[in-house]
Amino acid sequence: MAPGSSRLARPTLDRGAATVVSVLIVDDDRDIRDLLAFKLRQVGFDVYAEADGEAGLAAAFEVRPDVVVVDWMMPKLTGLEVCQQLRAHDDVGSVGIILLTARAQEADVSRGFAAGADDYVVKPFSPRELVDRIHALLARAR
Amino acid sequence: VGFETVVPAVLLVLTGVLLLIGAATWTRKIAVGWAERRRARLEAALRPQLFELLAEGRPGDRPTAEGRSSRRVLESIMVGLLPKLRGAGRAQLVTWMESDGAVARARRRTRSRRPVVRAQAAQHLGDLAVASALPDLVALLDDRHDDVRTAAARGLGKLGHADTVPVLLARLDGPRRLPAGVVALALVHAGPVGTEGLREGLRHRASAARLVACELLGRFGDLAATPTLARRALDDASLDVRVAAARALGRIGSPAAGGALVACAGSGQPAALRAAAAWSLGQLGDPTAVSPLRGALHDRDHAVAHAAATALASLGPEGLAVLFDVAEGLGGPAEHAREAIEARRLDGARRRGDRFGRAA
Repeated sequence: MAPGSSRLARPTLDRGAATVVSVLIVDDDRDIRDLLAFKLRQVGFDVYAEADGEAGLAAAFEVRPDVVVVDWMMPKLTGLEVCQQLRAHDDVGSVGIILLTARAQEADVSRGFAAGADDYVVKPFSPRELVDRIHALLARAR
Repeated sequence: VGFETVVPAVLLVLTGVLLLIGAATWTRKIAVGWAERRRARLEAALRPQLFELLAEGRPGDRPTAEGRSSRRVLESIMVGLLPKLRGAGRAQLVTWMESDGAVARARRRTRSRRPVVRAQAAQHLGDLAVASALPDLVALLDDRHDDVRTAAARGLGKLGHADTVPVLLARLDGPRRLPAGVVALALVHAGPVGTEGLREGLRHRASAARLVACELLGRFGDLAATPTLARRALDDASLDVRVAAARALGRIGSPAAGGALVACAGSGQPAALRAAAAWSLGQLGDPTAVSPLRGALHDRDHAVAHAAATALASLGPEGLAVLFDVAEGLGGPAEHAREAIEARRLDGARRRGDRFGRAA
């Protein structure tokens, strides 16, 4: 799927055969989607991107990524709702979730983790640090 | 000249004017559409190049844009990205923009005749956060337009430079002053780098500056500010500053603030100060505060009694024992005590993830 596109342009990842880590980016900010997509592809990940929570959730069920990087404040479904709905389903419930948000208050971070996020990154952010956090999350999951 | 000649002539002229207006509108619409399409084409070509270079992060590489329009579009994409990034990617963008003259252009635009251009320039300089922009942004704080001064204050905050703190606090006093919220937010952006300036600000002649300094030192948890904040809480001329200082002492949480806070919670003090001091004594977690808080629990002022009950609930077994004791009785203090016990029980249950949690 092309970054920024709201439709999946790639077939569903065959997890049985896959050796490449797949990451789904859900963010309504086109700059962040595009930049992250380039950065994560450069690292060697399979990257999918969606611009709102509803499309992101649908893509998560279809693609079954290893990691979802999700913004909090988005149209249709918030990042927290995406987290909660992913965690509520057995088939995608174990996906790694990183919340990427401008909400930096202590209470916000607590809410993010309570909703099911594995990690919390505050905007403005460093793409390099986000990649490190994805690697750390994957290492913990192994 | 007869009536029958004048009317058709006027109609003809009016028709001509209308046609001209229509043609001008149509031409403008075409031109705007063409410019937008051209900009979209340029963006589509430049964005992948820029993002790829940022992703790869090779220091020697830089995006190339041929022609003035391309360079302007590239700059606007980079300006849009700046506030979203930190770290190496952000530094890379700033380097490219500085070498392309974007900083120099933004500095020149701070002297534009149009206020909107000056405000945009202040915003860009703040996003770029280059130290060389400091004098330009400080100069804009004297601008005759409120919006430009506000943009300059925000820009100064984003520079994250200690020198901006006294400059911003000074704008809470005198002519062309800024709203306290604007200054406070700018100082929050500047971050703990400005705590020394904020400690100086506790002695500022303007109460608004002292108030903002108190709030931010509390937010930053600046331990070194405890003695000065304690003095402000005890004897500042402004009640608002005393209350803010008392709350800041609670946020910082130094045991050294206990004596001043107990004095502020005393019965001879204004109710707002007593309430703030009671809350802060709870934040300190010092069991020696139980006795004065027990007195404050019986305060006639609802806010003071409520704050004392909440504080006692956070002081461990000694504080809870007082609450359980008072909760047995009747009247306001018993009600506050029961509320605090219940809040504590619910908080404990929430933390354990047990919605039917046991009594605290």
